[in-house]
Formats: sequence, C-alpha cells, structure tokens
Amino acid sequence: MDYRLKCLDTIFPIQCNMADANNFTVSIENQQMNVSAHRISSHELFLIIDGKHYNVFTQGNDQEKAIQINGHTYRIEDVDLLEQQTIKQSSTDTVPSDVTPPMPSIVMRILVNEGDHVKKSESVIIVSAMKMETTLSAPYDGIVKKIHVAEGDKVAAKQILMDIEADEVKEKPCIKKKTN
Amino acid sequence: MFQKILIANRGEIAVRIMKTCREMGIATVAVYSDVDANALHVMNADEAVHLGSAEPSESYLNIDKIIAAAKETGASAIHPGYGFLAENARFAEACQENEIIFIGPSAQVIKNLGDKITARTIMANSGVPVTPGTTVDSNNLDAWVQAAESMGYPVLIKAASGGGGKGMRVVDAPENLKESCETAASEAKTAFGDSTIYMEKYLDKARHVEIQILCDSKGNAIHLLERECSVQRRHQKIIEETPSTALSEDLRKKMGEAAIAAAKASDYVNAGTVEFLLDDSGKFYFLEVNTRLQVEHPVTEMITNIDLVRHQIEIAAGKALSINQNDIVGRGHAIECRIYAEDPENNFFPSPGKIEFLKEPTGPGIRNDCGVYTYVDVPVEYDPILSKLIVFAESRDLAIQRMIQALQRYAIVGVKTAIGFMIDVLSSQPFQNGETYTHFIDTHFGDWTPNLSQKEIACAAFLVDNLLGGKKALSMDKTQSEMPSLWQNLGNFRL
Repeated sequence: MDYRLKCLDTIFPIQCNMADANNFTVSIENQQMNVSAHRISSHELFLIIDGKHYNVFTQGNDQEKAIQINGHTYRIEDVDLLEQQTIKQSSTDTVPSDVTPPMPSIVMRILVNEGDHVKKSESVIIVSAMKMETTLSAPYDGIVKKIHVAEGDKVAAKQILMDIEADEVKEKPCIKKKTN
Repeated sequence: MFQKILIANRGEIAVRIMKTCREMGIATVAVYSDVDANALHVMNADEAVHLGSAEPSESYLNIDKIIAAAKETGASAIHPGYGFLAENARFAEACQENEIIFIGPSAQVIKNLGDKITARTIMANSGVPVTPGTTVDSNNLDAWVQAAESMGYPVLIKAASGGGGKGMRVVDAPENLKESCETAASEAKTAFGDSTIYMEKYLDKARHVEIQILCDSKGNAIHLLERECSVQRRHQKIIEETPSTALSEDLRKKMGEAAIAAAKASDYVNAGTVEFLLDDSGKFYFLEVNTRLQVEHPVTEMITNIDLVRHQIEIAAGKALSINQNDIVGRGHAIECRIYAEDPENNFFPSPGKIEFLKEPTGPGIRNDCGVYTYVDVPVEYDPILSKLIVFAESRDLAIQRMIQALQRYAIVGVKTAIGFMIDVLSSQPFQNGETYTHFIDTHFGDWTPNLSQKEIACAAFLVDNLLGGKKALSMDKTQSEMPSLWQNLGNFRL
C-alpha cells in the first residue's frame, strides 16, 4: 500500500506491505526497513527495525497520531485520509473564527452581554486552565447573538462559547453549532 | 509523636508526605475535591475526607473545611505540602486556635517572611546581603523614576505578597516604568489581594541558588547545602540540581552561614528555604524565604541521605534536631526534572486531559515522585504538575546521562509534557558546561523546536500501529466511558 505521511513540514511518500501478522516492510524514499512488531498495549509497541529495538508509544487514530520514541513526540498525519475527510466536511467549518478556548478550561468572566456590539479582537471572555488565564477575543466586528456559557462553567477545547453575528455580510456568517 | 496526620494537599506532594508518615507508623488522612475522588493521594491515604467542589476556595483552600476534617478524623497535626495553604498565616493560626499542630513555622514567621518587604528589612538588619531595592508610594511615579535612576536600569518590579513569578516585571528603560508598575500592581492585586509592589536592582546574569534549612524549636539551626534552580520558564523552576557548579567550598560555607543567620533573624522553626541570587563574582543577595517544603526538596534528600519530611514532623512534634551541621555531607550529584502537563512548543501552556497511558522509568539512582496514574484525568483547576523525576549519580556528568536515559524511557500519553524539551536541554553544551543562569531558557532555548531525528522510524511506527491487530481488543479492557471522545483524540496534537 502507498501512503503519504506528514511529519513536521515534510511529506514522506511511503510503501508499506504486510508480510504476516507481525512483519512488515516499509519503504521511505530509498530506505527499506524490515519491521517486526509486537503490540504490548493499545498505546505501546515493541518494534524491531532491521535488528534494532524500539519502544514506541502511540496515541491517536488512523489519520493522526502522536508517536513517542526515546522521549520525543512526533506528530504525524496521513495526508490522504485527512484530505478525504476534509472534502466530506462542509468547507465553512474550516475558518477559525469562533470564540473558543484552546483547551479544557473554566469560564472566569464574561465581559459582554447578548446584544452588545463588539469590535474585532475586543476581549469578550476570560477562561482559566490550571491557574493560567486566557482572554478570548472577538474574531470580527459584530453583535453578540447568543452566549452559550455562564461564569464558572467548565468548557471543552474548541467548544463554541458565544455566537457573534458579523456586521457586514462576509463570506461566512460565522455561526457554527456547538461541536461538543 | 502524632498518631494521625492530615495532609492538606493533593497530587505528588501529598503522596510523598504519606510515604514518610507510613514509615513512621503515623496514620494519614487525605482531603479531596469532587474531581479528585479517585486521585492517587486519596488512594494512598488510610482515610479521606471529601471537602467540596473542585473550585480551590471550596476545597484545598478552604480553611474551615480542612480544620473540620482534621477534627472529625482525630488528626492531631496537618502537613500543608507546598502551594495551597502552605504559606497562609491565617491557616497556621486557625490550626493553633483549634489545637492542631501545623507542620511548618508559626503564623507570625509566615506573615513576616511572606511580606517580601518586611522580610528584606529583617534580613538587612541582621547583616544578610540583600539586593539594592526600595519601596515607594505606588501613586508617586516621580519617586519610582528617581529610585530607578539611582539604582540604574534594568530594575525588577515585584509584588510584596508575591511568588511564582506573578506581579513581576523587568524594566529596561524609564519609558516603560509607569506601565510596568501599574500592570505589576494590578496582577499582584488579582493574584494575592494586595497591590503593594517594590523595586529591586535586576541582576542581569545571575543564578538562583537556595539553601535548605532545618530549625528546631530548641534554637538549633542547620543548613542542608544548596540547590541550583536557575533553569526556569515563566519565572518558574523546571530543572533543579545539587550541588551547584558555581559554588566553591568556601562560598558554600558562606551562603550556608547567611541562610542560618536569616533563619535566626526570623525566629524560624521547621524546614525552610532561603533563596539567593548569585552573580559571577561570587556575590550573593537574599531573595526570599520559602516557609514550606519546596517542590525541589528531593535533590537535597538524595545527596544528604536525609528525609526532610521526617524531620519536619519530628520538629513539629517538639523534638530537638537529631542531626548537627557536621552530619551534613553532600555525596554525589542529584538532578530533578519537573514533569508538568504543559506544551513546551506553545510557551509552556498547560495541557490538561486524560492520561491514557503512563510508564515510569525505573533503575539505579532513579526516583519518580508521581501523583498520577493511567486513566486519571488531570483536572484544569489545579497546578498541572504530574510528577518529579529525580536522579542521583556519582558525578554531575553521570547524573545528566542518567536523567536523559530516564526521560527517554518515561512515557506519558494523553497530555503534553516537556519531556522532549528537557532531554534537549540536558543534552545541550551550555547545560553540560554548567552555564545555568536565570535567563538560561530564553538565551538558549527561546525558539526551541524538538530535535526529531527519527522521523522515518516514527512514520513506520504510525503505519504499523494502524495495521497491527489487537488494538481494539486491548483498549476494551476498560469501560466504554473511558474511551476518549473525538476531541480528546484529536485535541492533544491539534491545539
């Protein structure tokens, strides 16, 4: 099977063939590797690659994984699988223009009310994760239509905390449903 | 001796204190909030009392509830650990009023040393060297400008009730002074409820070197050598070691004596740490006294072979120190790496979440003070420390190699950590040369990206992980509710 995997900014074209349940040949560019693999747990693999031993820890799904080898973490994506997925999704979903925390947090303070007009990059909500406060700001000029959370609420990463309706008709009228 | 001690803390430090209690035959009481019902410190205790919601003010910072828990369980003493109520004079007072022994110094000592301005005055009056500095009425900008001119830029603005880098600002030039004073004061107000700030001469090239002290209630005071804690991010320590590469035997003796002078000047009782800044000419300046067990205390335990928690408990029980200064001999070299749930590629921002898999390194000279386990949720409400990895070896070079090996075999899956970052730091020439100054990370690792030399191996592992059977079956051994949801799966490497 042919794959294209992305690690950092490099895309590696790879061929991978399964010889049997535990043995694989992997070719990356001009390098061929014989891999003997054993699963220790759902997150731990013991690999023997051309006779060399590797203890590898994994997290993720078929499209994206974090791979830990010798204490360093490699974030790897399957470019083809991700592309298929992106085509399936509606394209409006990809614009990062929502009021949403980067990590699981607690809502500390809401600085605006529904109906308020806000300017682009105006602070609208303060969340706290592990004693560190982060201020989230309006992605564009607009009117606060709906605030989905209250002070003290626990919120998930990427949860939409408020809907802001853009002033002028932009390509994307911004309102995405809560994802979580 | 106490029959039962309540540990008013959580995470690795609560677990570590309980270990010594068990060795001493003392029963332990844990306290916990809603999100910590299954936390390691609860499982390690003999009994536990639920305090309330996750919000610290309803749980680990709630003095009334903790005192009530001690009374209810019959604990005659409370160990506060570090953080939370450890340096809260009101808590020490409340313990005293309720005839519970607070394992730490008296409320008055905490109060005096907690106010950095009072502490500076006490030290200066007792001949302990302090950095040139001043306090000025915070509304009088002219006075600030004048004070800064007279000590020379850069200057450092600090919060009187400060700690942990909050309310701290370095000012390089007069035009930034006003804004820095204002933001420092407002940050201090938010963090500590006190906007008082003061100004110190900023030492551009200095090391953070601290001395561990132990003082009993009979007037005996000893020091347990130094810890070098210069490697810091966001004004918070991340790698500590002892001995410091910068101390000669003579300087070590001088700083130890200064620390004991500081302890005596403040009527100190129990374990404490006197922090100094040390410049290249061997001049050192008092920074502050931490009136508690330090996060980094294990490195001292490793080279002195002394259990600091045991001595804390004995001192609190009114016993005289069973060791004297001549008993304190440093042997070998110890290094500690703090393992936080944080993202070193994103300014060390916290990275909470579920620990999906954890494998701790073991081996000769390796100690891991750990507060988490596989499948535990790292809550967003508290400090994101997961564990402290400590190594001990014959020499600094060997300790560095041992730490690199230990970090490489430490697997934490589900939250981000700085393990890769610390491997790169320890492998670097500046660290190995001992060029550890407080701006070490900014100077050498400001724009760090991980040293990823095995991309091809990682790619092969990616595909093998997808193709190799058994994953589903193995992950089903936990209940369905513990299966990560989609955003957890994607989240940790997309943020």
